[in-house]
Amino acid sequence: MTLNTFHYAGVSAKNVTLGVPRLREIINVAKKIKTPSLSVYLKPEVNKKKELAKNVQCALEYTTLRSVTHATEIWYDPDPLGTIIEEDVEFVRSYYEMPDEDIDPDKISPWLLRIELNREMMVDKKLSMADIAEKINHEFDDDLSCIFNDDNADKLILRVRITNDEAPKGEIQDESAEDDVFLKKIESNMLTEMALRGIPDINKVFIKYGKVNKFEDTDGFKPDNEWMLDTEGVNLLAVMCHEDVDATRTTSNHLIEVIEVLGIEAVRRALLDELRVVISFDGSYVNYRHLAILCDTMTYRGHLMAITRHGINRNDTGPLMRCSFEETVDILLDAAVYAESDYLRGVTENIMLGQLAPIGTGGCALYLNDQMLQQAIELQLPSYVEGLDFGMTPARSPISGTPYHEGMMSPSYLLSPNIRASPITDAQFSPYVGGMAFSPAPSPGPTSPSYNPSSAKYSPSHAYSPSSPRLSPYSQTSPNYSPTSPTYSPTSPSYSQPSPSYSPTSPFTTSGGPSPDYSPTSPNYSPSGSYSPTAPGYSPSSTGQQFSPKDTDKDDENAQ
Amino acid sequence: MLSDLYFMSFRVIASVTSSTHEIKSKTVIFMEKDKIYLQLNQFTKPIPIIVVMKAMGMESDQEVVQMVGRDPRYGDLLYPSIQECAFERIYTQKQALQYMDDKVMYPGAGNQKEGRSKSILRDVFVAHVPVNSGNFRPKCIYTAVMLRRMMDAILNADTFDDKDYVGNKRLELSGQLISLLFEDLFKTMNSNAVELLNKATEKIHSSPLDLSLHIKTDIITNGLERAISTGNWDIKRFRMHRKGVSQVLSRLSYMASLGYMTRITPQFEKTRKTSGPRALQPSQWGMLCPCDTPEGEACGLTKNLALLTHVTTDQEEGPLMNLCYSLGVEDLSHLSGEEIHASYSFLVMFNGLILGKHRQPQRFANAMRMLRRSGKIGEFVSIFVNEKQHCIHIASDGGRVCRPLIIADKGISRVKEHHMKELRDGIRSFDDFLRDGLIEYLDVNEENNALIALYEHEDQDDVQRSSITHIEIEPLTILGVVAGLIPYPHHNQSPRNTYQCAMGKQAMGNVAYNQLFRADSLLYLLVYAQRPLLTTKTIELVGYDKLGAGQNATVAVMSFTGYDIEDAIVMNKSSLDRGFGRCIAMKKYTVTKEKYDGGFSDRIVKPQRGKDGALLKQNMRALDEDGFAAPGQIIRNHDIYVNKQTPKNTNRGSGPPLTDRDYKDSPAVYKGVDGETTVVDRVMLCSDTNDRLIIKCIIRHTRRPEVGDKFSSRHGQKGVCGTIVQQEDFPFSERGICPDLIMNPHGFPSRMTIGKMIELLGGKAGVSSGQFHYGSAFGEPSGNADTVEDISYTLVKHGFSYNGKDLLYSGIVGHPVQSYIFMGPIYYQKLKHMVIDKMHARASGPRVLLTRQPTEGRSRDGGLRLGEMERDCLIAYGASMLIFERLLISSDPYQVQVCRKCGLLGYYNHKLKTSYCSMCKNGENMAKMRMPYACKLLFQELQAMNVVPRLKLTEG
Repeated sequence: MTLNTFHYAGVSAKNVTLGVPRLREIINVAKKIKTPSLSVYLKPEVNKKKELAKNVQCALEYTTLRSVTHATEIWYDPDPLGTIIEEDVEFVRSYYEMPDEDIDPDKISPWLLRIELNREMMVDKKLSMADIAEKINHEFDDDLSCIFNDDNADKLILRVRITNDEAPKGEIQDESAEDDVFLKKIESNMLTEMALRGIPDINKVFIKYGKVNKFEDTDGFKPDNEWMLDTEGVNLLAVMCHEDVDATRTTSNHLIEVIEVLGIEAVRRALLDELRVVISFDGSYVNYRHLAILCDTMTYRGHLMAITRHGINRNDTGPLMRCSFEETVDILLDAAVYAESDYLRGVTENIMLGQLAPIGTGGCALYLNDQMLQQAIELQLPSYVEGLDFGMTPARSPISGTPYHEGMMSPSYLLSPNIRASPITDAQFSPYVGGMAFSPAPSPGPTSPSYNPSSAKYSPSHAYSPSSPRLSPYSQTSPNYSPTSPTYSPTSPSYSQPSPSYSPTSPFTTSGGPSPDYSPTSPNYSPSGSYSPTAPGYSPSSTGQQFSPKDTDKDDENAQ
Repeated sequence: MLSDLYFMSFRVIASVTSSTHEIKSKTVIFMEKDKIYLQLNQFTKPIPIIVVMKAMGMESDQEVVQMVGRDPRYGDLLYPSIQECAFERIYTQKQALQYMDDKVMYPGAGNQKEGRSKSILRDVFVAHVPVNSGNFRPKCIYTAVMLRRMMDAILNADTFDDKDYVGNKRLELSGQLISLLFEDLFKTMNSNAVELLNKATEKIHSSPLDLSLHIKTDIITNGLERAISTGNWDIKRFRMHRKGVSQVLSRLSYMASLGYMTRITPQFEKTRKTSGPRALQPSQWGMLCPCDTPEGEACGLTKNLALLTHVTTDQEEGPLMNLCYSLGVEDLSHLSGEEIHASYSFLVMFNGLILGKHRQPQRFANAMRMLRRSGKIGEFVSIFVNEKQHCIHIASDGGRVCRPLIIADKGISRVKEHHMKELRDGIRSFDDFLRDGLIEYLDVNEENNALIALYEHEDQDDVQRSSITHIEIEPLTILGVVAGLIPYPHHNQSPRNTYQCAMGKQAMGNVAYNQLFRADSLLYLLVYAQRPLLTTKTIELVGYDKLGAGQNATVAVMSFTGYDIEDAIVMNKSSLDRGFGRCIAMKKYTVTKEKYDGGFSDRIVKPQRGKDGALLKQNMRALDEDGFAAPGQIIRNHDIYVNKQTPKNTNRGSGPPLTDRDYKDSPAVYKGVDGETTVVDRVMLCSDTNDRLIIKCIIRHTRRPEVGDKFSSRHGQKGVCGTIVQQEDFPFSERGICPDLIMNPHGFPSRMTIGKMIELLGGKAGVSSGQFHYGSAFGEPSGNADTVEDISYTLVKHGFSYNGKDLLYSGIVGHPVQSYIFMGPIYYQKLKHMVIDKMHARASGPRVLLTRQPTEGRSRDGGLRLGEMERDCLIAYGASMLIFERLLISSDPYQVQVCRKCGLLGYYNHKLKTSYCSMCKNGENMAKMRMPYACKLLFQELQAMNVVPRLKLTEG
């Protein structure tokens, strides 16, 4: 994203802040943004024809008298029925031939406010003199009398005079002295305050023809064209109330306004949309979930939380966590003054105090049930050939007393104490992953016999074996346990196959021979590579090579 | 004296920065809500401009409007301001001055309040326009011109001045800076002396007052020394506090020193937002190098001078002003407002001062230029006719950049063939050309008036030959010195040229002819430096070919071994054995023999030997009999190179001479990497200003390239040595040539450095034909660069393929490689980033005293920081135990005793072997806990601030 933003070559010839400055506005929930804008969608009756849309455009755009005024003048024109200004003589006379209301010429002030209007602007805003006069009358009732000339005249002139209520004559002098000052005030008031048309704050409205996808029940999304409006300036509530505006689709890009008018869920959606606009302007793409988590974090408190020290540090998290972001001393002093407590629930606090943070791996703890422990039966651990390292559980079921077959190295040693119990109970296959642990590999037939799933004894190994890479050929339970061969050649990794058990450590040594040195941590290669718990059948054929133990196995088998 | 207008969010501003001998001020005139105000630091609030004009003597509004210009539009723009002035009821000069007096910022300082505003108007407002005997008229006219320019800008946005236009910029050279510093120090010395004298006169003295005693002599010396050594220029008078004004010249290589000396740094902060100053300006052509700029923060701000650029110095103004008047400039004081802005007359401005007007600007300009060409006025005076603003600018001030161009009369160059012959023979020199009016210096503004052709006799389609006024000397001069190193830069993608400009300064080579006699603290030399086969004209002009900073390596562009991914380079072991890329790193270690009060000093003793002559201490192996290391001795880690002893009691004052017992050893020990064989190169004894003996021991290490050392060609193609392969395994050509280096062809497509490919061709042709080929920038038309066709022709003549490709046989397998390989010599530079200086590992090691955490930095054997963002990534993974291990166990775990009752930290009494809480004053309720030492430190610091963090414990 560049820092420059003025590359909007859009149809509407307006510029919208984009890029890094806009991102900052969004994230800091800025109260004042550089280009506030509304996207106004029109009701279906109106959005098909340009003319109708233009009407709405004119109706929305805020016009004051100032924008259509070319010049204003204050004249002393004593005769209300005539005028000393030559241009106006005609139309004043023609006006007073048929006076509209009964106005006592004596009551009309001799001071005249003469406003010349700008023809182009009048045409642009589609205003007529009558509209303006009507507005003035509406505002000031009978206090002002105004005369205007024809829309087709050379110059568009509006003449305004004050009508005095009290009987003049006696006090003309004083009042006329105040009149011109009063007239000046009226002039400035009219120019700035009087709204001719439109909704305040909506400075400019642009019309554009856009494509939108409409959902129809039968056909799904169909592209459709419609006219829509973009504004410069925001006043969402007032615009939504306009009769031709489709209030269900109109939005604003000013988030504070959206939350005030439409609520928190709407602002979450608006936030997401705004972020998307900024990011995809360059053609980048960020997955929904990342933006969603940002939007959710900013709105989950019920109000818009800015990603600044004003937003984040106003949460009720512990003082240690808040002080680690930006306003350290202030926060700590406040915490001391108000005797705040920090319950050490957050990540930062635990890291500061050097404890295991309650995230991820630290999210669960192990509890030991003392009473059950008292009732526990002492297990007799089989003697291992080589010292199994820690974690090595007697995957070999003590009952069978057979260690795994050489190929079976069940890394199940890593198992939790649970496993210990398993051999006793049965079929604790507990969670075998994939359940297919057995068999996919074509066990070399004869070996399978011993395999019975029920022999939970070995099963645990895979079930849990964090690593039991079952050698495929001897489908796990490779029944050939030759009690004599305690040598499970860890090399068997080749059999790694579908060991449903993901081996956390898959420490298989590669070297052939019963090198019991599988260090729980030594990652060995799995010939098949896929140790995934779901590793489907692994064709034993592929395991052709590196199977040194295989031979021995076969021997054993035969031996059996 | 810059005058510039800039658009600032609906506010148009005209500002003038004036500086005279006494004062430097900035005058700003701006328009807000249709009214024009003057803003000056001396006034608290902006003052309406008409009030100012009235105060200066132009009491009638009509005069003001006439002065600004008769166009009704100007009148309209001025109208609200005139109204405002009338609103304030200010009609006469006196009233105006009174009004301004109220707004003076520092009333009562010095003169009486009455004259304040008048004196401010006279001295501070547009200070450079002189007010002679109360005649404010020139200032009024100047203000009117400012107003007119501002209104032009409001009416027509095109007339805004460009802040970044090089013609509006001035360079401050060292003389100017030192003169400012000297002035400040001199004045300080004077004012100090005055103060001291004042104090002295109050007391009664027996002897007459001796002035010289009160002048402190070393203010100036110390001030200059301090400023130059630190680079901080603090000048109180101008409120200038600049940092980094003087910097240590980098002696890394010859190019680094040269490049440093052509550097231009700006003074403003490196704000990210403004991209204007960083962009390449068209007005930089020929003056500042377009591709030599550093990457990163200072990109585009720090620039370098081009080859032929000259920076002007101040010239006498008086004679020039007289000359202007005599050439027909009508003096300002004789003119009325109407005449000044007549359409046919041009205003004449000299160094920012309005001299008057002239009716025939072109003739005036031509006359001045003719005088300059014939040497009657200085050659650096520039005359610029600005048609748009109807003025002529004459500039003779210092700090402008200018460059020489050949003068052409109607398209025919004045420099003829016989001139060139004389130049070649040595009869004529550059100054002769200048004096004879064949060449002249044009600065950036005057270039706008000139039509400059690149070559003579070119058939210009769209330009009349007769309107050409100047001819460029040579297109390769638009580049600077460092960019001149690059062969065929016009065939490269321009960012690559920029990268090379940065890397050429890091290449190792020869630094100077006397490099072996210098004692630099760090010196890198290339053992077998060569000059490039493909040179450029700049290289020869600058002398780089006499020193060299790289070697011509035979490079084959092919994939090999797979160790060449991501720009890595495969190197030939036998080439390295024969000395390719070998460098010498020389470091200086200084030891001072201190002197103490009482005449005692350190002493150097010879190494102690046992009875059989063997050394008592093995780490004194390198020492000679005089206590210094002998040149040529190999010195290892922990070896002593100066055997120094310090007296134990240094504050003794004079007394009996010391015996052996009174000295303790304080030898200088060499700290180096285990495994490096460093040798003492030479030991120099010298004395410093305080007459102490200084011993400089220079230790040399010859380094052979190894995996990880950085190399680069001259085209921004840098790479690290990926692997070193035996020559037997390297591919070889039919003639038996093995490349020294193998480069991965993936480096070419996205980088588009075609110059490198042509360099290879040219080098190969050069080697075969025995000549050096040239590759100067844009040099093909003028013969300063050899064209590819000629090179290819040469190659074919010598039996090679025209495209530089050879048939190579694979060294491993033996059969020919399936495609033809592009092979030839390319000049490769070895850069100073060597892996031995960077490799760093730590298991456990020293800790910081305060927080007991591992130290930082390779030199302190530090650890690498797991920063906040890295911690966030670990959190995202949920790897809680990893965080725990990294941030507690491997960093600063600490056992604390915490009192359960009060929650504060207690302490452990080792004698009694119990814990104790100082708050509760007993040892019950103590628990032990492990926390990071930094946390314990935090808690104690907070307690010191009266913020009490109490810990509540649970069983863990």
